[in-house]
Amino acid sequence: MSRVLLLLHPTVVTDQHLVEQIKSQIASTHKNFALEQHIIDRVTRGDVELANNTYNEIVYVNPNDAAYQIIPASLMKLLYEVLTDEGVLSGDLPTDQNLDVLMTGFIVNDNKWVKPKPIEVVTLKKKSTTNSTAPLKKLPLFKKLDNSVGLTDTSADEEDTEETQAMKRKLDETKLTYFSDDDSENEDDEDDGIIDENDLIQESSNTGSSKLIVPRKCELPNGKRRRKACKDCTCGLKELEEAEENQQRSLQDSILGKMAQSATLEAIKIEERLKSKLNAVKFKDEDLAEIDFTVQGKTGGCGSCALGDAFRCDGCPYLGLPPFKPGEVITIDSLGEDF
Amino acid sequence: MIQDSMNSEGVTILYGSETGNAEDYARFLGLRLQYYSISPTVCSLDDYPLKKLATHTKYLIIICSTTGQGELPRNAKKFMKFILKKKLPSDLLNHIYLTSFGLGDSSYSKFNYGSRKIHTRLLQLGCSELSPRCEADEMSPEGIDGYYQEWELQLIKSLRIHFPSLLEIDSEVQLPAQNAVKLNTTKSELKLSDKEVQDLSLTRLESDNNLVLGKIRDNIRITDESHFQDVRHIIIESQDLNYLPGDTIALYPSNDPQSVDLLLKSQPHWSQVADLPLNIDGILPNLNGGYISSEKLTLRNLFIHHLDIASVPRRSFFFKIWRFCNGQTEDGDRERSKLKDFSTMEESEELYNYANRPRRSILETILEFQENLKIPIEYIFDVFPLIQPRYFSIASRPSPNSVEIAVAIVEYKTILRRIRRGLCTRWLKLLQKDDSIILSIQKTNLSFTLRGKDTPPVIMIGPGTGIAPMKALIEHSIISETTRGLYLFTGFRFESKDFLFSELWLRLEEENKIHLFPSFSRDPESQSKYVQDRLFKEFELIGDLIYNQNAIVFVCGSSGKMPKQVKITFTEILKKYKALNDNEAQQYVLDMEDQGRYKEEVW
Repeated sequence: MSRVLLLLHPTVVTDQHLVEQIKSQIASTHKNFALEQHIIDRVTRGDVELANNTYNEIVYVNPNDAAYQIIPASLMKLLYEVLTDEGVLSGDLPTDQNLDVLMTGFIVNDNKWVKPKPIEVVTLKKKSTTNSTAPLKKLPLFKKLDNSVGLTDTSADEEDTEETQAMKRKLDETKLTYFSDDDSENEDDEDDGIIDENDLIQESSNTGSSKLIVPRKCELPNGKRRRKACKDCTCGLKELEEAEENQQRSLQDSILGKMAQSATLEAIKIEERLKSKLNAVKFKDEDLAEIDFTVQGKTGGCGSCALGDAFRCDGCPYLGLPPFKPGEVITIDSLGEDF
Repeated sequence: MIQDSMNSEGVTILYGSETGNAEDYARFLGLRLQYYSISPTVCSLDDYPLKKLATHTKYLIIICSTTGQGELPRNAKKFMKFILKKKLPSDLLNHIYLTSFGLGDSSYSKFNYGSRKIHTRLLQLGCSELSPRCEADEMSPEGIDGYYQEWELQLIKSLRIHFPSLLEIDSEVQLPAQNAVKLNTTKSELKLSDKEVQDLSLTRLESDNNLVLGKIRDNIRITDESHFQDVRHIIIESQDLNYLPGDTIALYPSNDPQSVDLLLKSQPHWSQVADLPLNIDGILPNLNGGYISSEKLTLRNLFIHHLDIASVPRRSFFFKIWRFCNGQTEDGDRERSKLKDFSTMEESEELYNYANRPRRSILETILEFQENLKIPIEYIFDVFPLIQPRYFSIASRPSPNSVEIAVAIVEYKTILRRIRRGLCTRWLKLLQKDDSIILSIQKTNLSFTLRGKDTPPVIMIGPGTGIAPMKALIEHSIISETTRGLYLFTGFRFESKDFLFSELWLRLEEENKIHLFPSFSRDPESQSKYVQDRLFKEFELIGDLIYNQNAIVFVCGSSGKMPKQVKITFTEILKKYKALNDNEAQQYVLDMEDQGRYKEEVW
C-alpha cells in the first residue's frame, strides 16, 4: 500500500470543489493507497508532526502566482525527510529554486522532485550539511574529562581518590574562567556572540516536547469544576463573581442594619463612646463595621459564622465581616485606619 | 535566600518572576524540600552568583514565568544574557541535573517561551534532565497548581533516587529559622520621631549603589476632583540621572506606621520589644534597593521599611505560620488546621476564596487568627515577604535633574468592607513637596530606531496611565529628532475629567507636531470608545504607516484585554488593508515583534 500526503496551501482550503477534484484525480491514478491531508502552514510551523521516511508521494497544491510559490529551504528539507526513498514530490512546485532543490538532495525529474536511493543521499546530504551547518565553530570542549568516569558524576558513595579530586579541581577552574561577575564588560562587541533566542524555541519544538509533564485531570470531589476567573475573563465567570460579590454586599448591609437595630443598649453606648472619641469623624457606610457583634444568638445557623471568613460557608451572609467571637467587643483598632 | 547549606548537596532553586507568583512557587518548593532533608538555595536567577553554577550547583531547579511577548521576567534577564553567549562550551554545565517549571498563559502566542528558552539552552550547555520539565497553563481547568503537583511529584521522586539516604521529616516539626531575628536586650530602646522613621529609608543609599536620592518637587492630582480615580503627576528632582524614553524608575515604598502598630499590638510579645535594637543572623537575601542601616534596626523599623504586610498572603506564608498556631484549645485546633489547609495544594480553592478573591492582606489575616497564632520573634524575617520595589514608566524626556511619573492611586472595595489600597500608591499619595526619597533608574532597552539609525514613524497606543512613556518619547522626539511621525492613540473615560496631559497634547496637535487620536469610553458624544476602535477607523493610515513607512508600534497600559485586543485590531487592519488571510496577518504581526517593530510595555 502506498501512502500519499496531500499538502494544501491555505487559499485552497476554502474551495471545497477544487479539493474534491484533486482528491478524485489522485484516486483515479492510484490503487490501494492511504491519503493524508494537511495545510502547508501547519506543517511549516510544526503544528503537525510528520514522521520521517513515511510517504511514497507528496502532492503539493498551491494555485497562486509563481511569485508566491517559493518553498522555504527548511520546508523543503522537511518534505525531503518525510518521503521514503524514491518518493516523489509533485504538484505546484516552484521552477526557479532548482539550486535549493538540489542542495536539499532531490533529483529534479520532469517537474517532479524525487528523493534518490540512499547511496546518492549520502553524498548529496553531506554536501548540503557541510554547507549549511558547518559554520557552528567547534569550541574547546572538555572532552577528555567527559570520558573519565565519575568526574562529573554525582554518585555520593563513590570514593574520591586524590587523582580524581585534583582533576575535578582543574575542571572546576577551567569552567570558572567562563563565568564572569562583571556582566558589563565588552557589552558592545559581545552582541555578535549571542545566540538568537528564537532558535532555542525552534530547537525545543524539534526535540523536547515529548517529555513534558501534564497535570492529572482536575475534578473536585463533588464533581464541580469551579475555578477562579482569569485575569481577562471573557467567558462570563467574572461577571458571575461580581454578581456574587454585589449580592454579598447587600447581604452584609441588611445584616448590619438588623444588628444596628437590635443592638443592646450597651452596644449603643460603646458606639457612642467611639464616636465621641473620634470627634468630628463622620461615619460613612463602609465604616458600619464598627457595630458590636456581641449580640446574643448571633453565632449563625451553622455555628461557624462567628468564627470569621476562614470558617464561613460558601455564600454565608457574614462573609467579609470580621469574626465575632461571643463576648468579644470589636474595637475601633481592629478595624484599622480607613476613616 | 542565598546560603550554602552545610552538607552541600548543591540543590538550587532559581526563579524568574515578574509578579511574585513564580517566586512563591520557588519558595514553596524550597520549604517542601526541607521536609525531605534537602536544604536548597532559593534565589532569583539574576541574584545567583554565576560562578556558583560551576562550584555549588549539582541539581538545578528553575521556576520561571513568561511576560507578554515571550520575554523573560525582569529578574531573569541577566542570567539569560549570560547563557546565550556563543562562546560557552557545550559541556560547561555537564555536572548539573536540571528540571524546570514554566508558568504561562496559553492565550498568549508565545506561551511559556521563557522557561522553554532557558531549559533548551541549559541542555545545550550539557545539563542532563533531573526529571521532566513542565509548562503550566493558567488557562487550563487544572490551573498552575495542577501542573505543579504532578511536576513536584516527579521531581521529588527523582531527588530521592539521587539522595537515597535522606529521611522525610514529619510535617509537624518546626525547623530552625534561617535568618533568625535576635533582640539586643543589652541596649536601650530606640525612640525616633515619625520623620526620623520615615527618613530611615534614605539610609538604604549606602547598601545599594544603584540608588539615588531624590526630592519631591510636585505631587499633584491631574484628574478632576469629581472623577472616581485619583491620578498623580509626580515630579522628582535629582542629579546625574541617565535615562531614555521607555525606561522605568523603581521606587521603594514603606508601610504606614499605623498599620505596623496594629500588627505589633496583635502580637503582644512583639509590641513589648518593638523598639529594641536587633540583629538578623545569616546572609540576608539580595534585595533591589538594599536594607536600611542595621544600627537603626528594630522590629518596628523592620516592619515599616522591609516586611510586606499589605500584600495578599501566599501559600508559602501559610506553610510557614501554621505550626505557630497553638492547637491545644478547641478554637486553636480548628484555626491551626485551617491555616495548614491554606498551605496545601489540595485546598488551593479555599486559599483563593479566603485570600486572593477579597484581596485580604497579610495584616488582616494575622489579626483574624491572633487569638492562637503566636509567631516567635526569631522567625519574623523568615515568615514575611520583603517589600519589593515598584516600577513606573518615566513620563518625561531625558533629563539629568528631574524625572516625572503618572500614577493611578489604587483604591477599591471587595467583600471586605475596608477599602483596599495599594501599599505603594498609599505611600505615594502622602508624599509632600520637598520630601526626600530614594529611587533608581531601570533600563528597559526599548529602542525606537531600526538598524540603529532610522527613525520611522511611531504609532503609540497608550490608554490611561499608559500615556506616560508616550509623553517621554514625544517630548524627546520633538526636541531631538524633528522628522519623526508621531501618532498618538490614547483613551480615557471622560474628556473633561481624566484626559491626562490634555493641554499638552492639544497644543502639540495644534503645532502639527503630533497626530492625536483620543477616544473616550464614557462620553456619549465620543466617536470611538476605545483605542482599538479608533485604530480600526484609521485603518488606511495605519496600514500605510506599517506597510509603506516601516512604522514602529508601541503599546503601553495595564495588561489584560487592552493589549490583546489592540493586537487583534492590528491583525484585522492588515487583513483589510492588504487583503491578507488570518494566518498571513498574524504572521506579519509576529514578524514585526521579532524585528522590534511591535513593542509592548504592560503591567
